[in-house]
Amino acid sequence: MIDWIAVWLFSTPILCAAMGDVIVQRSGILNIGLEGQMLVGAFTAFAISSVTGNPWLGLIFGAGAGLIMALIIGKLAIDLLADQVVVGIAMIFLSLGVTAYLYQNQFGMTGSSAGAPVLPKWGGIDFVMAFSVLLVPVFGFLLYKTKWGLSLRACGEYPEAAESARVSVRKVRFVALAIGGILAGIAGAELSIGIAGSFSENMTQGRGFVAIAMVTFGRWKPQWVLTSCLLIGWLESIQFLAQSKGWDIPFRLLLAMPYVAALLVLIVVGKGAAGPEALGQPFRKYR
Amino acid sequence: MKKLPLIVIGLLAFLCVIAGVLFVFQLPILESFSLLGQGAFGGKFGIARTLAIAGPILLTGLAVVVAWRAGLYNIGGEGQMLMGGMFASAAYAFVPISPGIILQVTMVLGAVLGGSLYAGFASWLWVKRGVPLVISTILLNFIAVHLLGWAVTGPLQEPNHQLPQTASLPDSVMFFRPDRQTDFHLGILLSLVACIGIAIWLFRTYEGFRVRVIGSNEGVARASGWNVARSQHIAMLISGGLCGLAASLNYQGITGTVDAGFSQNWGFLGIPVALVGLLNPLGTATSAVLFGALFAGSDQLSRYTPSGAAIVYVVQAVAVILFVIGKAVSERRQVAGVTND
Amino acid sequence: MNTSQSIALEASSLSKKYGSVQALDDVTIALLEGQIHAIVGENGAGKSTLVNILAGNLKADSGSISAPNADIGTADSVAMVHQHFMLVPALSVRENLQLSASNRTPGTMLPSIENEAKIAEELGWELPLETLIRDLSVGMQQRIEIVKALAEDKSILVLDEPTAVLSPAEVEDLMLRLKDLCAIGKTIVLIAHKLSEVMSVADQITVLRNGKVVASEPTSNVNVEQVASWMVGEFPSGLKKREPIFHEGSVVLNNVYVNADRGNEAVCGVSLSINRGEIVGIGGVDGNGQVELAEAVAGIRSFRGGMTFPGSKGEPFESVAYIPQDRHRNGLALQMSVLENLLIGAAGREKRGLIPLRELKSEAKGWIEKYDVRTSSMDDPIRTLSGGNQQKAIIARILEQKPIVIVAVNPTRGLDVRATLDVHRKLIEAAESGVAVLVFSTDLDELSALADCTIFMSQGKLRDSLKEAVSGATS
Repeated sequence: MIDWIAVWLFSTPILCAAMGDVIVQRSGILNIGLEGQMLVGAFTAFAISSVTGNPWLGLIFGAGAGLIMALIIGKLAIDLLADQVVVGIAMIFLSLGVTAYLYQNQFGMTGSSAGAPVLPKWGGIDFVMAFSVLLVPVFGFLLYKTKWGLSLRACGEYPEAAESARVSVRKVRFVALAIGGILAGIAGAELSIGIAGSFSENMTQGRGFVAIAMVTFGRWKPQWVLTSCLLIGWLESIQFLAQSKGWDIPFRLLLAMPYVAALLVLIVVGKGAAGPEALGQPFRKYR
Repeated sequence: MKKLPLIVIGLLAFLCVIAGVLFVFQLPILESFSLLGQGAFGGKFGIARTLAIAGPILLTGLAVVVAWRAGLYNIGGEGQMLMGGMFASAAYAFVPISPGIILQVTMVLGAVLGGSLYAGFASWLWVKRGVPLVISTILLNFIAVHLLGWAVTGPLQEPNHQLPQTASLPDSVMFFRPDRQTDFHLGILLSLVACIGIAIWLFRTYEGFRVRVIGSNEGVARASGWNVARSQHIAMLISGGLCGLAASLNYQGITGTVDAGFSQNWGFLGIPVALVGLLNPLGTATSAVLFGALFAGSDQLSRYTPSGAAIVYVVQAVAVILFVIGKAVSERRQVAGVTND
Repeated sequence: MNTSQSIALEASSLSKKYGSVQALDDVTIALLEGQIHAIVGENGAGKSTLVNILAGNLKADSGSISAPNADIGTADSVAMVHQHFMLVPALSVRENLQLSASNRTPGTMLPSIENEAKIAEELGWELPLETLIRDLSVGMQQRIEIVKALAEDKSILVLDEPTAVLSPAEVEDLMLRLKDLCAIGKTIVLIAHKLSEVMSVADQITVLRNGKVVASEPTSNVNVEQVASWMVGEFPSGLKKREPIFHEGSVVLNNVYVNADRGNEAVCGVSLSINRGEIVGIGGVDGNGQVELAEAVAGIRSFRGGMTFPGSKGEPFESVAYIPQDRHRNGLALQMSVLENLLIGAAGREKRGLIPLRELKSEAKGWIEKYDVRTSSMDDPIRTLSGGNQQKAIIARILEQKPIVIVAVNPTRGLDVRATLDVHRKLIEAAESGVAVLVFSTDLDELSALADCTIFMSQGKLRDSLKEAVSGATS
């Protein structure tokens, strides 16, 4: 009954971005700008792919675009100690404007649907789909078995302690943002040159926020984030299925379920265990 | 009125930002400015258009101001607007009053109530359960989108059951338009009233004063024995109510129907509007008019270049980033000042 | 004790300034190998600054440090156990040990903690490796901190206020372990408040006051009272400058118990009565429950036991005003104007409606003159004022609420002589007008200048004399 390939496909952009955001949030940074990174990644991948005719180049450049955004965010939020939420929101507006402008100027239209070569699929599965799922065990390993993963978690929980163990909180957070940025860029690329084969203004439509919500829902653990992303993908896929079959179910309510569930988890868990302790707080190094 | 020079400087800085963006986008600056000016202030259509956008974003901006002043992040303006719209349309659909001024007012109150309750739920989660407001309001935004999306295909759908939106409102419950050709409606005045009201509340009442002290330093409030949770609740209820009112302005002033996308990102837009307005009501009113003009003007600009609205977003982003950098620099100076004490 | 040991670390003429505050002033100190060296002094005396310089966490403005026997840099011979544990609460004991071992071991994988386990075993401690730090007692957390520090294999171990958070049994165990460590050649620096514990274990004691070394003596040459007077200044006796006139009514505390933030009992059964018109001073070294008791009396911390206030109708804490000890954290809204900070008192807990701004403004103008708050304008942000003027603004705001009871904690900390006198004068005037004043201070000079009667506090209990309080002998 379940079309697993469709579920996988629909959850991939969110999964890929969410896996990056697991790393970012674990380092103590609440990056609302993820939405913008995805959008810029989607546009860049589309533009490069359609200009060069090579979707792989598009993918690489999409990842690079996400990385550049991450470095800007890092400069503002880590070095200037700026408010992370405000920085993130600025990034969203910036990406909305820049992608819309470039798209209209380069491709001369305000709607959607200029085509670009898409990433090849093998049996309905493309590179990003496989890559994203592969990230789950890799990140699980990275977080729990390596020194870097341990210092990353320490930075998000209690940066002072990390710093006293001679870990550079600044460096760890920059690297985390960079990883998150690259993955957000790839996630965006999957949207434009993986699934749609085109670009449209604001085509991410809140998927960056969904990814952040899924990280929360998945309790910052890669395997649970995977599960929650698959849940979202499943809900999205049955929506299309039901539309084609004319089922009478209130899908909109169904779509709200993951968010309701995420909220319930937070309510039940309550104070204390609501994620990395230092999440969202700039770290001012003691001099 | 010591703030006046600040506002003039801000205005000039804002114009410089626009000029900078136009330059980067390789548009002729002077011509673009004149087009923007025409679109925003050229004749009654332009001015009406500017004000019709400035009204709602002034309200969502004020919502951010009030919450921020209490030390809270309300980035749930979108969800609160949608809830406001849903409550207002529910009031229209289910309150058994024949369309007229009473129903119109009932709908406005319904919108305010909807936004307020939705924000109040988020602050309840924060105060009672320690759920961070940033996360809860993001989640609640999605829940609102889907809830409204369901409502406009279900119980609130227009009578023909064709489109995913509510029934079109009759003129009798819409805000009065002095000139039917323009977008100007009397609801816009409500935003002005709200702005003055919030300014008075924040700066001239005990409750508003307590809220500002809490936002500035919670420790003082606690040492003074104040009820911090209660003040934060009140701030969030007001914040959400303002977003609900913004929904009413859009619904009963312009669109006449509600659908899942009717908030037009104005809930989010409140954040740059408030930040550029330096988080005070008067400044926010100024920046709301500027952004309103920019939106209205960009329509005119888009005849010249296909990228009208895009420029607005970029200007917002650049303005916010400049705000962030300015704040970081001035805070650094303050920290230095305190330790040198 | 063997006094002819070689020097492990020597610091000479260290000075350090923070802004205009001289934190350390020409401090010279020598640590002998295999000894326990106690550094004592009040908060702000410069202890933490000194050890942080010794540990290489801070740089001194001038002066030098040398370690004659170490072939490496001096900072590399010191390991530190911080007062605020550098442990990640959400991680397990094992992960915390791995985190600190990471920078000593090569490779990308998590390091083994065999070494740490061995150290713990040698100390006779069993570490619950898989338990999260946040689920452990404070005493156990400290053991992990000590193991972490020892694993760094440095010759000198600095412990910053190690006993502040421990129960008496835990303190005793810790002191024994420290002696063991000395026996195997470690040099230990103990920073402390509670003299009795330190005196029993230390070989050498150095007293800091206002950034200067007041004395540095072998422990065997000094007694507790002597050290206490070095720490807090002379206690002039029989100096009464005013005869308090008691007004009717008094504050009565009956067997009050208060918990600290960590949940441990900070105040254990305090009974006390303060007459209106009287200033009661509570002395004693910091961290013995003073702040918790003050906050309980001020009505902002929950307590068990009885408390009655004179002339209170309805809300019992309505008539109590509180002068907190940390101006910047709990006393002022630094971004807001002088005027607004003055209004914080007038805003009350439950007041509603419009602020009569014009009235209050002229009233505030009067206060500024009366309390001699030096500011160019009432609308300036209060952060632009000097510390003394900030404190005077707080005092003005508190006293002008016309409270019946005032609770103050170290009301003149960090103020210059003139501002201190001003604050004292205002508090005495308040008492004369019939206010019951409860002053907590670690500065005995202050209490002798202010208080009509002085009690001391140690380990959450009241004591009659300084000697009793610092030795903590009787209970």
